[in-house]
Amino acid sequence: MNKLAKKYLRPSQIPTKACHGCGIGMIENWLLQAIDEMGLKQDDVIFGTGIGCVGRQTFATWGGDNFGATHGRALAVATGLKLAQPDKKYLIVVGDGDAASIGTSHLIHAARRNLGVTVICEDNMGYESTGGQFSPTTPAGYVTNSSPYGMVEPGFDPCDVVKAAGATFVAETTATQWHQTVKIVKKALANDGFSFVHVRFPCNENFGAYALGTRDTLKNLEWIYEHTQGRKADGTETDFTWETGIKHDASNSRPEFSKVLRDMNARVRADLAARAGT
Amino acid sequence: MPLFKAEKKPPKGPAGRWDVVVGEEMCKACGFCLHICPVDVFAWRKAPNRIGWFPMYTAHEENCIGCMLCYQICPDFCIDVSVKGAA
Repeated sequence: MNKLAKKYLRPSQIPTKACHGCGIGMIENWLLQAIDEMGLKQDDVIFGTGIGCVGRQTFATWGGDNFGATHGRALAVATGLKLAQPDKKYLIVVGDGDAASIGTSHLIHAARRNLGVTVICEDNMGYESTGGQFSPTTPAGYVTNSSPYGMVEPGFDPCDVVKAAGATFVAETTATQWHQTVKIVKKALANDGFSFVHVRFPCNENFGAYALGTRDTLKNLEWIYEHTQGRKADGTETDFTWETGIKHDASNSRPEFSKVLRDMNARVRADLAARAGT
Repeated sequence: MPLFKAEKKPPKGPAGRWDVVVGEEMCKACGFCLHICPVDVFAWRKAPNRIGWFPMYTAHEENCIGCMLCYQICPDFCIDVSVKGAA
């Protein structure tokens, strides 16, 4: 076990519950590096998860306080927690099912309120824990278990949605960009407002097997790398490229939701006390 | 330029100063460390571990140049690289 896993994670949850070659563990390792470089302790961060591959694997791995919400509702639970304990950092690690399909409205409204949490959307381009059905982030045309002739619906980019809804930090990376992801997560945690980081990672057992025709871990991660670079190993262009990097950085430009609500609470109490006095 | 390069380079520079530890009992044999390593440090074990995978082990620690690519890419928190002698 590496040093950071010993420092921050629960030893009972290792070996991880993920399939071999799954990118969730890599991304969690980079999150730990960002937390460590910021000098945060176990007690400073509350780790929330939802349902699915990401929820199952990251559930109860964090050594400090953590929670597992119902599908898509991690941000609803986090809103309550943030209002009760505004001084903690909140790291909400959800999948594409949680963030981009069943929990989209929670995501949009948390961004609209500028709730002070950091959402890491780990996206494996489908509902892989239930057998590999397509999701709103599956690339158009790719074969999945529920789209045997290719995904007919166009996908959508959750980064654009949360940016339009008012998030103050939006970024996208993939599972082959370790240094970028660590730097971006540090910026996201430093933002006192809603931060959204979208990280794509490979699934070997379902997305790889149906869409790419292989369960070879190396080929699947290489596919992610090629679509990050926009170029294959032989120099030809890929069918599409993900735009990675920081997409919107307006850190600390809007008041944070729990502060706004507490200020209003204090104002109303003062007003009531003044009325009672007269 | 592929992520996993087929050819390995001979070690140079500060090689041999690094302590590479693989947690073999938690390795799920994805092979990322073996293929991302530029200088050929890792190899497969011939016997399975407790969870049924044939894990990696540190075969040529003296080659390690401390690039930390294996540490960054390991999905199962197995690999730890540190300077020899450091705690």
